[in-house]
Amino acid sequence: MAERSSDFRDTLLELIEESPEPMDHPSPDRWLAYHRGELPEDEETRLQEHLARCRDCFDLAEAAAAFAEPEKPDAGQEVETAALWRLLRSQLGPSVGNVRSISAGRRGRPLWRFRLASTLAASLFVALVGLNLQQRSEIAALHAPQPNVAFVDLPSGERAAGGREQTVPAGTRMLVFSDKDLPAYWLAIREAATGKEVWSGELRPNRDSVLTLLLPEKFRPGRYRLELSDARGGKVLEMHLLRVTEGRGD
Amino acid sequence: MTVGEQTPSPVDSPRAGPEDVLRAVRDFQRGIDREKSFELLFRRFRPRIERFLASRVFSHEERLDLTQAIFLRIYQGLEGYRGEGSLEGWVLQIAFNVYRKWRDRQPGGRNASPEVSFDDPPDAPEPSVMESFPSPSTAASPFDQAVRQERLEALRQAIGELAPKQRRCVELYVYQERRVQEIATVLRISPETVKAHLFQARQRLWDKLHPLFGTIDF
Repeated sequence: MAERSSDFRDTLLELIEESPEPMDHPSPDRWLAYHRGELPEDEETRLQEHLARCRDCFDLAEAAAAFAEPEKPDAGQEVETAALWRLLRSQLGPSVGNVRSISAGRRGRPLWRFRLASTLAASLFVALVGLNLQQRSEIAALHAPQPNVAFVDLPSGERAAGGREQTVPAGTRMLVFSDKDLPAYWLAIREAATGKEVWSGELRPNRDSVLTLLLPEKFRPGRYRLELSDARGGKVLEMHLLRVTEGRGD
Repeated sequence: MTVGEQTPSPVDSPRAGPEDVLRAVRDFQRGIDREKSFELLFRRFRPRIERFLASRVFSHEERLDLTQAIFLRIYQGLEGYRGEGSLEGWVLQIAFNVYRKWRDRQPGGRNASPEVSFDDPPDAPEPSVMESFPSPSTAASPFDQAVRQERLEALRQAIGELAPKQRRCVELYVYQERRVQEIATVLRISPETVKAHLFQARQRLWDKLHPLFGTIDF
């Protein structure tokens, strides 16, 4: 943002303020249509010209952008919306007049801000218990920073099932496969004893030309076989044996 | 569909269709199952309001307060909604008004009052605006005025020769003092494109105006 004053800036401000102030302010519906690309080009241009002079319309246009975004299903937000509705419902009386008095948060009632925050926290807790384990771990993985992630180097050349087994304590670990030159690989993680696949996915070299995989906190302890192939169902190029044990062991 | 007809309730779905929403408004206005009708509207619009508030209000608790204030306003005003514009536009206007009122009350809000020093004697005369900011017409010499006029004309011409998108980016960035991300949102282009427009505009203005202005700093 421009913060300094200068001859150039002052002259530009003077020039813009010389132009007539816009009078005909677009409605919220026009801004919604604008953000959805429903307006002809010349009207879009007019609206954009209007924004340069009109601060309130700029703010409204920016708000309309958030409204016009397509809906995306979000389990976490639906839970919060449901919890928030339960709280709001208690504020809505049988008549509109009743709503006003309750929303003022007076007459000996606790402040609704306090009630809202504490009750919502309780409601969310109860609601979140209902989410399945996968949803919860996804949310945690998305939101929680993970410091001190240890690296486990998996040098190439371990091509046989009889290769050296690496032991990795449970906890977040970054597996690093080195010395790769293909643009993409396929990694399958199998239970060592049964060969049952527990995870598979494509690996691509990162900017340092290494392949990496984050082993999460909750990865189940056990013995695994990591098979690195040239493609899904393709030739296995490397195999690493990994033993995941209980405890962080940092 | 007539009012009061028994149909499966769409309330449980946050993605109720436009007809469900309009029916809910009609039912609410006629006093038919008001709570259920309003719940549908709440579920329909709350995600949008949260998206709107999320980038503007950092505190989660403040956002909850504002969300509740917005829906209470909607609840209070819904009987008066006559469908002259879309319901979505009407809700947007209410959400925006509630947010703006809240924003203007914040310390850095639009209407923040200037701080007053306690060191000033209470009966000290207010400084004259004319003393602080002498107007060009009274203070500037004819030469200064001629220079100013020349600069204004040169800038007008240089700005007019910029590509429209470049000009808009400069105006919003300098005049409105908006951030790149905000400009990108309202012009529906990427922040990188805004930066590129600003960069190119700066280059062009420098080429044309640096003999007059010296620096083109924005």
